[in-house]
Amino acid sequence: MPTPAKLPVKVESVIRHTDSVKTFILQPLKPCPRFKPGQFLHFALETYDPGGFWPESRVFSIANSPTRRGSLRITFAVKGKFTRRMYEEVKAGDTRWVKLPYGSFFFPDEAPEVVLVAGGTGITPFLSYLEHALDTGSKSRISLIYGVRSPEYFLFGPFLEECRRGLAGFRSRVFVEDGRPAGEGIEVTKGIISLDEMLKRPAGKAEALYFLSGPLAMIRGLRKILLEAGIAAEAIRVDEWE
Amino acid sequence: MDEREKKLREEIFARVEEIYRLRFAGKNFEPGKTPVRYAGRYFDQREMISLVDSALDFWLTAGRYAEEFEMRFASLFELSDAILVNSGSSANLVALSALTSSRLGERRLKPGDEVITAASGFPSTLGPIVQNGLVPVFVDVEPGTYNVPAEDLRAAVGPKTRAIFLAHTLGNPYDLDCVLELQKKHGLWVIEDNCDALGSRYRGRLTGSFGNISTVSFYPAHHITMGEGGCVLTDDETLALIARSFRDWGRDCYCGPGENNTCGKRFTQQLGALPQGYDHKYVYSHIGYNLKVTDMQAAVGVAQLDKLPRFIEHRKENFRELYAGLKGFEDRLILPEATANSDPAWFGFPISVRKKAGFSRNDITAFLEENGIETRNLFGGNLTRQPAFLDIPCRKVGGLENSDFIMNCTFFIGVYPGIDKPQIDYVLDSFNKFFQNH
Repeated sequence: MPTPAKLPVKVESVIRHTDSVKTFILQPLKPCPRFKPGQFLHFALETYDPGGFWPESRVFSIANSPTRRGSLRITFAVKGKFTRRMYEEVKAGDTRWVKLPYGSFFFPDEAPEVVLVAGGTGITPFLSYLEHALDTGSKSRISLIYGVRSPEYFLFGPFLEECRRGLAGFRSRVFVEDGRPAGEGIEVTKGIISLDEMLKRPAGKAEALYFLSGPLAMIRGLRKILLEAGIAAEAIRVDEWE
Repeated sequence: MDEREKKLREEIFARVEEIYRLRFAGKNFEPGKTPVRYAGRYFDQREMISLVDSALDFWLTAGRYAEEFEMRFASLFELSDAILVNSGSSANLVALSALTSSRLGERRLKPGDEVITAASGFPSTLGPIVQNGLVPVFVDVEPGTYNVPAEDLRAAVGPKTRAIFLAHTLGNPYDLDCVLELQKKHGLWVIEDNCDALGSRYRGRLTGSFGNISTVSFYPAHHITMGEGGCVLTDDETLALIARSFRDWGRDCYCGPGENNTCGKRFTQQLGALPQGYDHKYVYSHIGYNLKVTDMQAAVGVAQLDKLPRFIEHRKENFRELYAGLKGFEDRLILPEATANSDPAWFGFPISVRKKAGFSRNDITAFLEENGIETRNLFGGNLTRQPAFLDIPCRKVGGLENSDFIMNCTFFIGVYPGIDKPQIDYVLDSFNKFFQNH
């Protein structure tokens, strides 16, 4: 883990996705430390006095590649008082504080096959990984299985299209619980995430690494399914949050 | 911080500067009266102001200055992590202990594994090897460079050898080409004890950036100081996490002082045989220590770091002056020699008295000391002869004759930035006087 640093950031822009989900683009006002795809930052609403205590903060996966450290991107869903305040109070032009990088949800530099399973805003660490893969010309086979409640929560269609065009080994499958279309040209499967198709494949299953990110219940359920299907525990990595 | 506090601090800083000028500034060197130190803190009002600034924060433990220092120091070495500790010796202990972590799986060092080290040097390179139940393999060094020759290093590798832990003696880099070749060939860990060599370069790159993990000391004798202090450096994020754990009581949690739930999983993990959700703050994955630095120390370090390039040049300049002035006595003295492909930021100026010089090391050091010129032996000499290490399990490569020679015949004098031209001239004049009678 690189030496973590606390730094002020300017909120460059705020993107409203839904009534409860937003993305912040943050411009570091001090040199941003190195980080790896999959790592996270702490975001504080209150001003930090470097001679005092770090204020209350919450953790968010960094959703952009470390190759693009000029700005930091986080996407969050309102889940409590703090994220509600983030949703309602933070505006473009604000100066806020972050500290980073943290976490060990690391991806391999190169792997025969990587399976990314995301629920909702749990896709954010994978965005960093995929953007990094695009920037570094990764040759890995990457499968993204992405589940959302309803089409308005399907947030990153254009980026995933960029991945399809730019990464030879990339494919994706989208699950929408209510089955409504998620966008033009996006093939949608109705219901919650299923790994059945993935696990039925005759080849590749054994050498794939599985990364799970999303709600706790989803992660635990899918991990159990993978283990029961004979996937080794060390081939399953989870990004689990309180 | 509000404007009133800022103003008050500025007033205090102005007073601190006055005290610096009254107490420390502008002292003239008086030959024979003012000691010529072998090393020492070299500072001005900026270090004192930085220290007071930190004291006024009253954060006490590692805080904003420690964070700034770690960021800048890692960046200086172009490495991912700099981990401040309370001394260079602690850095050595943390660095070597980190390699014993179960998190490293089969690669970890296990009791009985061998670690190649120099017989001659400072005990805190050797101590952590023994403290971790590992077996030191003592290799001799050569007078002049005071480092282990490549052929001896190659000969030292045995079937149980798993690591090389050497110090760049007095700032002189060892043969890193050879060490890295052995690392690759035998899958060894390389720990660089860079405590005495901050700013030294090998093939243009800073020493301390070659090994899997390396260490630096900030004791007042060193290239920059925090009073007490040291640092572990690595570009391996797993090693960094482990090193922080060993530094911070062995805990699994990596929150900084005053922080909570940095991992975001404080109450949701299940580790060891602990119950699910046991507070991560009190989960211990290693048998560690508490070796953290205070923010006051780091504050001094931050001010010193600004001056490092100048300090390094000053050391090199003093070294060059001494070398030129003592060259005429090479028939009786062995003068220091930089390792091939290196550019040392010398810690001191090592000198060995040749066997047939007609006087002993102690004769000349006694003369210099009487004339106010501090000398030091090359640390512990042949460490295998030190009382603490007489009975440790070890392997020796050869008879370690050179280490015995160094123990008996070698000393060093200062090159630190507190030594100016008049002091160098006085030192050289004193050598001349000694040789008039020897």
